[in-house]
Amino acid sequence: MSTLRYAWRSLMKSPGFTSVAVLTLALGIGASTSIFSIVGAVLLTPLPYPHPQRLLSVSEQAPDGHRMNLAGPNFDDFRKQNDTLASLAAYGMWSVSLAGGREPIRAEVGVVSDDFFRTFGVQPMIGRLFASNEFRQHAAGIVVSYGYWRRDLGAPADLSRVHLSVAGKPYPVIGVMPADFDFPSGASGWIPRDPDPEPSRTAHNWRAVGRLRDGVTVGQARANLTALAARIKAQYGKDADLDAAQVVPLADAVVGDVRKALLTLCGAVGLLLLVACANVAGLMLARTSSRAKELAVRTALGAGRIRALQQLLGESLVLAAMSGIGGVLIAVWSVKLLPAFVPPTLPRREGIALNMPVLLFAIGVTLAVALALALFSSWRASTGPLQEALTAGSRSLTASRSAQRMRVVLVVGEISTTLTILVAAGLLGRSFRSLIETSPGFRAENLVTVQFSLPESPDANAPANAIAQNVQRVDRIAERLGAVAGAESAGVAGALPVAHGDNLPEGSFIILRGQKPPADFKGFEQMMHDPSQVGEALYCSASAGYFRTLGIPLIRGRFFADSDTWDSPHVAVISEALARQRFANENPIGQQLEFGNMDGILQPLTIVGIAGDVRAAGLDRPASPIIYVDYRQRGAGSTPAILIRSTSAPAEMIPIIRGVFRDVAPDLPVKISTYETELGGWLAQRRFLLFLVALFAAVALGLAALGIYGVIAFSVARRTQEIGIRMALGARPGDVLRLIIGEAARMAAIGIVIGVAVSLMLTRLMASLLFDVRATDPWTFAAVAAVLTAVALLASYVPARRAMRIAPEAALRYE
Amino acid sequence: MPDSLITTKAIEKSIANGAMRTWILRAVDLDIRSGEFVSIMGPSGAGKSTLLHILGLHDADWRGEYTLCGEPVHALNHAKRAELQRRHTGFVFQNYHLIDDLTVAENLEVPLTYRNVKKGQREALVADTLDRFGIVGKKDLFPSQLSGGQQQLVGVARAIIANPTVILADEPTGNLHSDQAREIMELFRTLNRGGTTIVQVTHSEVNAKYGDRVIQMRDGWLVHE
Repeated sequence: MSTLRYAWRSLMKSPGFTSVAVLTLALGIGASTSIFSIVGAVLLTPLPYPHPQRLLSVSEQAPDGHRMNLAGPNFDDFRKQNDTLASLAAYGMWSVSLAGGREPIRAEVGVVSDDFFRTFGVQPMIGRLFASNEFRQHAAGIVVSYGYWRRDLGAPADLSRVHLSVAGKPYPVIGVMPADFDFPSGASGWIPRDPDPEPSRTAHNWRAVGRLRDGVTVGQARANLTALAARIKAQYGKDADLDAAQVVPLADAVVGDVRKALLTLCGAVGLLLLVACANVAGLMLARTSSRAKELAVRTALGAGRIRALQQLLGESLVLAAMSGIGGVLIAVWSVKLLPAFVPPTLPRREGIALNMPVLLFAIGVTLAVALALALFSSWRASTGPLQEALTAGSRSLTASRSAQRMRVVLVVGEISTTLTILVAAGLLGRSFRSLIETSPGFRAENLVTVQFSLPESPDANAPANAIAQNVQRVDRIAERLGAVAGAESAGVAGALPVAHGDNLPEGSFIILRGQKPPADFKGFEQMMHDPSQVGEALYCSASAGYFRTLGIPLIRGRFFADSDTWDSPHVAVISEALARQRFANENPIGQQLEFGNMDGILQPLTIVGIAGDVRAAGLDRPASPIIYVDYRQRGAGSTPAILIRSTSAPAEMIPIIRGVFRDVAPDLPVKISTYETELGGWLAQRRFLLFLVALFAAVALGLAALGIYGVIAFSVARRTQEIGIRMALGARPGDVLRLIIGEAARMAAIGIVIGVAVSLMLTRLMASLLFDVRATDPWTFAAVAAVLTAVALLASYVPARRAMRIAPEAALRYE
Repeated sequence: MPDSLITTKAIEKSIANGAMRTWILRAVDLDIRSGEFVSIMGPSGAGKSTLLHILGLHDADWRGEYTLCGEPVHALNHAKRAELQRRHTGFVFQNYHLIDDLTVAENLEVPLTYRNVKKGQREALVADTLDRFGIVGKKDLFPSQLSGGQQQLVGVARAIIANPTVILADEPTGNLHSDQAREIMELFRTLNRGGTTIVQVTHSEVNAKYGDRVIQMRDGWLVHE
């Protein structure tokens, strides 16, 4: 205890050293703890269901290895024939108009099969779940989420009188799920899945979640379901396109591709902590060597070596404890700020908090830092220079020289580590800039987006009528919005390209090449057997105004025209990418396509035009093959979007457009935004990663600069006499400047060489997070090396200037 | 080359001590001719070393007139003084002041690097000097591996390597035992006979006898010549 008390007193006697060391370590510990609060919530916290490790995500695998949703009949076979799962449930997400609460909203509703809730092992908080027979009734009921129940329904305890309208159909509310049940993420409610009207083994509409039986491993389940997939393929041949089953723990599936980004953050913050520790170790060395004489005197007075070392260990412990407290305070502050920065698309973000596991992590890191510093101190004290100083205190010059060499090693380590973080930030920054600069294929500025939900048409079985009603409604809204002052033009689409790229449905189409179109979907599936006439494309329902409003150029032929009606031949415009892929040596205009699997209408589509390419699946992906259909012939679906090109700042138009929309369609839930805001949402995850890595890189750079400054300043102090001698022997101030800056330049050069080698190995791991830049991009490496060199030289300039002013007679006075 | 190598007139140096000034040198008039071997003697605190550092152009904080090799030091700016120092002076310190991290050969090379001597020529000069002083076998040793006498031998070699007009030696044998001291003084005598002007500060009557002339100082004043 007295050791700690003396350590405390000793640290308080050097407030400069103590505050810099504590602040440095607190930054490292605080940043690590904050990142752990995210990683812990997203990657490490078990899913909030009983035995979550037994929950699985089940999908089909195509012959080329890519993951596919399950086709309905395949799901049924998997469920009935497997012998490794206790249960297997299918689910989908439906973006619909949900009315009956506070106000109609455009909501995500889970469409779930029998066994869905049983698979999770979760009971409702209020009411009940679906009975088995309710899966054979249409619109039997809806189970709502806790959030929707509180926010939109006013948290009624009695559900018997609560009814909702889901896409225009009445559903009684039968239950409320507990607050922590959020699967699929963002669902406001769950309704039973209707049986497939047209069962097909190639219509991949369903995701699936399963629960392992007791004692069964994930590998066994994968083998079992893959064997079933092979059996299905053998039995149905070309009617089935699966090759195997993909079975992964549900926790991994929920996290998805965020894992790599979070692991990159962990790596960056870990390196930052290393830099901080190296910095403090360097400071401690300087302090230890300046106290060598004191320690030698203590030894001479009878203190054993262990006793003398106890002092250093005590100081390490007290220093780390103070830093740990500072780090937790930084983490408290940053975790409060995080919700403003964490992208809304980050899964399980609601779990980010400074809870007990996060605090335990902070304590663990603090203890690790204390241990590392203590081991370092005792190693330095028990070998070499300090030992010499302890046994022969007068030879402190040798001790300080050796300590200085160790500090150089530490700073070289700091430089190389900082280079790695800087390179990561640089690569992410270049990727981000490339993404922003990548043209989506249209003019994205000055666009207002209006996304809304339409109720399902009452004439769903009469497509012509349903489409006519859909078009009439959308037309009226588009017409009014397009006439708003400041609106240059307006266009209709089934979904926003890029911003909601994942929402554009992808499917297989058939090039008819003179064949008769199929009479029904059985015929469609038959025709799919010939791969030479089958292609894959995104399906986009659009108006003629859509191309004009977005500025998508016409390459050949024409866009949609008023003469294109339900009764006239249905037309399609294809993207250049599709023309290149499927019609390389022929003129696509006039060719007929069958794409009825996307909208249920088997009338063939005649290609009338080729449009410029659009990166509809995301800016980071190549231009997608797209088939545009005329929404007046095929409808705009239940969640259309209207895009308005404004002549002024689009944000200023939002209130006006909202007013007009409320006037023309007061019953429809709507989301009005600017296209750039929507794009920003898509970019948020990348921006978040870039922001944090760049922040860590900046802090690491600052610490490295501090480290370099410390080493050079100490070196100048140690070499004062030498510099005096050199000046007495004729050195000019410029010679001294070169001598000192050269020392920093040498450290920087060695650090950079090591850092580049390490970075070349590490940045490969983040290649999948990069866009349009290689993980070994020489420009980024060169720029980072130049920045580090400049910082090293700048950091050494102040002590170097001090060295230039050393007067030889003053330096040599005490002969 | 003028006959008078070093001439000072009314050189004074003082340092502030609160409201008072402490005088270190008072009205020092000195004239040293080329080829002389002069010893400056006096009790501790007399101002001997201060005067020698002023003569060696290490100290610029003084008043009066100082002419070195015909150049009026008092009228020169810092750069010109530094140039004059490089051209004409070599300095030997009581504590040798070899650079710890450099080998003997590298220590000898230091003054040459500051005089823009080309690398090949530097190597030749270092080799000659090592040979001349009989320390070829020690060229790769560090100062800490040498005895005091050997270190001072290197210190003298370093002082003469750039062929200065005058060697200024501040108690060059102060830390050496008598045999080593004699060896160094014999070396000075040889150098002086070769034409190098030598000004030494010493407490030793024996060492002073190696010179032609003794200048006595007390309390900053030049009291007796």
